[in-house]
Amino acid sequence: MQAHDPIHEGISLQTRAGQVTLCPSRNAHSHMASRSRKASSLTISSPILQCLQYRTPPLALLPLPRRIQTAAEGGGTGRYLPPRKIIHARPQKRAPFPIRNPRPFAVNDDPARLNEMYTTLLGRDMGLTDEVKWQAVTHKSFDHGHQPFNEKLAIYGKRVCWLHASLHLLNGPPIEDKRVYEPPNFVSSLDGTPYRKPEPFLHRDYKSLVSIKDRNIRAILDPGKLATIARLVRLDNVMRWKPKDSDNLHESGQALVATQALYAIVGALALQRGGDIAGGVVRERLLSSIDWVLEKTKDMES
Amino acid sequence: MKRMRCAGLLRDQLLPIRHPSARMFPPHHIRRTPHFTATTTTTTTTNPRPLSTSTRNRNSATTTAPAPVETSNPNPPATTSPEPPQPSSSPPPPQTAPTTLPPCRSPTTSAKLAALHARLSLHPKFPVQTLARALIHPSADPNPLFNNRSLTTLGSALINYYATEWLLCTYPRLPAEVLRAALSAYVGAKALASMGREWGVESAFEPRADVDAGLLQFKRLPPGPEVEASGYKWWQEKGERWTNGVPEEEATASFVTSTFAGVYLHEGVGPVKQFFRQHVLSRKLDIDKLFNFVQPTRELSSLCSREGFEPPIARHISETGRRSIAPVFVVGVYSGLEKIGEGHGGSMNEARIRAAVNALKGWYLYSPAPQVDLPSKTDDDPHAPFRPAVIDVGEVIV
Repeated sequence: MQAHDPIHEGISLQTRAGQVTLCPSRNAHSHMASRSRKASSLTISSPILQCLQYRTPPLALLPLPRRIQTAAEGGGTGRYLPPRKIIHARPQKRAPFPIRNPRPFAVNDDPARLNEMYTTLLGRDMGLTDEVKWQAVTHKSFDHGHQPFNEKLAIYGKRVCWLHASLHLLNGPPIEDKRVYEPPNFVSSLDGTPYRKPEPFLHRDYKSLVSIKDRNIRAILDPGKLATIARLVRLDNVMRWKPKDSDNLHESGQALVATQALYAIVGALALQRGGDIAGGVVRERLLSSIDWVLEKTKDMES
Repeated sequence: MKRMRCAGLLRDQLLPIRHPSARMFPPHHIRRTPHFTATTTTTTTTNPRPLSTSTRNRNSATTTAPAPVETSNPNPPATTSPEPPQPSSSPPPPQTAPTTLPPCRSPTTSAKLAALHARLSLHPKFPVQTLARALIHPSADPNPLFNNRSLTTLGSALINYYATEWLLCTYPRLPAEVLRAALSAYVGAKALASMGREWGVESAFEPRADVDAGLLQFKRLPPGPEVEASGYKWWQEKGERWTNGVPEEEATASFVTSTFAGVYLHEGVGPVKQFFRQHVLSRKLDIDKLFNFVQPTRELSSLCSREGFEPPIARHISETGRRSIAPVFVVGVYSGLEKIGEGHGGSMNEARIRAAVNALKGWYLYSPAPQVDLPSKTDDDPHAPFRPAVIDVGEVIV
């Protein structure tokens, strides 16, 4: 006896007496789903679109076919392959025709452009695998999260960058505070005897500890600077995301998504190649000035 | 001193009791062989004038020498300096220039500080002056050369880095929200504050000149309902939240974080990793309690669809007391022939949902059987062999 329903549409319970289906849950789910779908299609598809749908053959309105690669097809690299049992996969739950967004936002699909971006950013081939290269530039919003996305890599990469920015300040020249601090008037509360003014304790291990401040770390990991680096290495052309408004990428947060992808690349490097290689990349490419990327772009233009 | 006298008289009675200065962990610098040689360079200036503490303290500030404190050699820390200032016994000097340091800024004369140093098994290269500085919150002293603000910033960067990499390598498939919750449970302010309480750090009621240097000094939040402060206070920096003071929890957390930074500065990368393992990762956290599934059955279905498994099917396994007041049903979720989760409940629906939750937790809480290398392994030794970690594709979005 085989039950065909997936678990969210209903439940099939096998008992000795036979197959028992829990009717209420199935009905509730299916009703809710169908109602919402009908309502949305009524409100969203404009009369012009409906006209088009009637007059033109439906195939012409379909978007370009998605190249979701499966292991069964075999072939090239660079796509995420689920770990096992892919042969028995059923197709993804998708409507044959996207009603809400008939023209999906076009993203890069070319591994050559992706590799070019990585070479520009990192300087050489760092030995990242192709799956991770795609994952690090894929935002969670792309393809409704069906493709591997970079959220956790960005969380980790940001902390790697934050640590190396702190160490960069620690080992660099000290940044003195311009503010002058009045030493507090230490007076004994027993008899009012004044105490001597204490002197700061200095130690050679402290190096430039005074310059480690949140403000200074934010200054060298400035979001505007990172977004500029991402734009100049053309990261925003190869990253995969879904903007809120396809006509206004700036308002949709393109810079933020690109910065997150930059952090995710650092995180992926640390996880795959180790902390010192990631630290070297952070020091050379993100914490230093952006002269290197300006030179690269000059070369690319000329 | 009281401690020594007791130890001399009642040694055998005191032995079985866990002494407050007993080691909580084996010292994290155990691999380093003789470290006592570095500590013998205490202040050796024999000063003819008994009260000229200015030159003595300047000397002790420039040399790297802390007071050597060990539990096996429990010198009272007051005797480590040649002339301890005794403001109460000696009459106030007639000259106008004061010569004694305030007790809140003289770490070498604090017994509490030396005891804390010994309790944490810090290396003698870690001076008590750094520990004293870690105990001064910016709200007690805004001068960045005296307070622990920069130490806290460095320490929080360190412990966040180590905690994130450990969680990502140990539980690669955790959803991002659960990852954030676990991070906050390991290195959040509450966890760090409880760690500081376990270390035995006590707080001064108010940061005044007469408090001991071994007490945590900060400006307390005024009691009563929290009032939004107007503007930055004199000890705050731009970007901070406007407050009239800090709660004790925040101040204690800043001390613990600064201690990590001190271990990094004075002892290096390897010892700070071991210090982190011993004090943070040794705490137990039930990560499976952090999940909160809204639609577990739908999520499991999406998961199986994404990963290419057969669609999940719930099957009734057993039951008891169907017509009684307390029935129990056991339902398993199967993907093909493989059972991926099982749950029990008072109704079939409840059991089915629990089975789906268990199946999802089994997926998300996967941990690689051979422990992979943490990325920080190559931080101090770039040529160490490194096994790359598993990089997860991300949680299921329903």
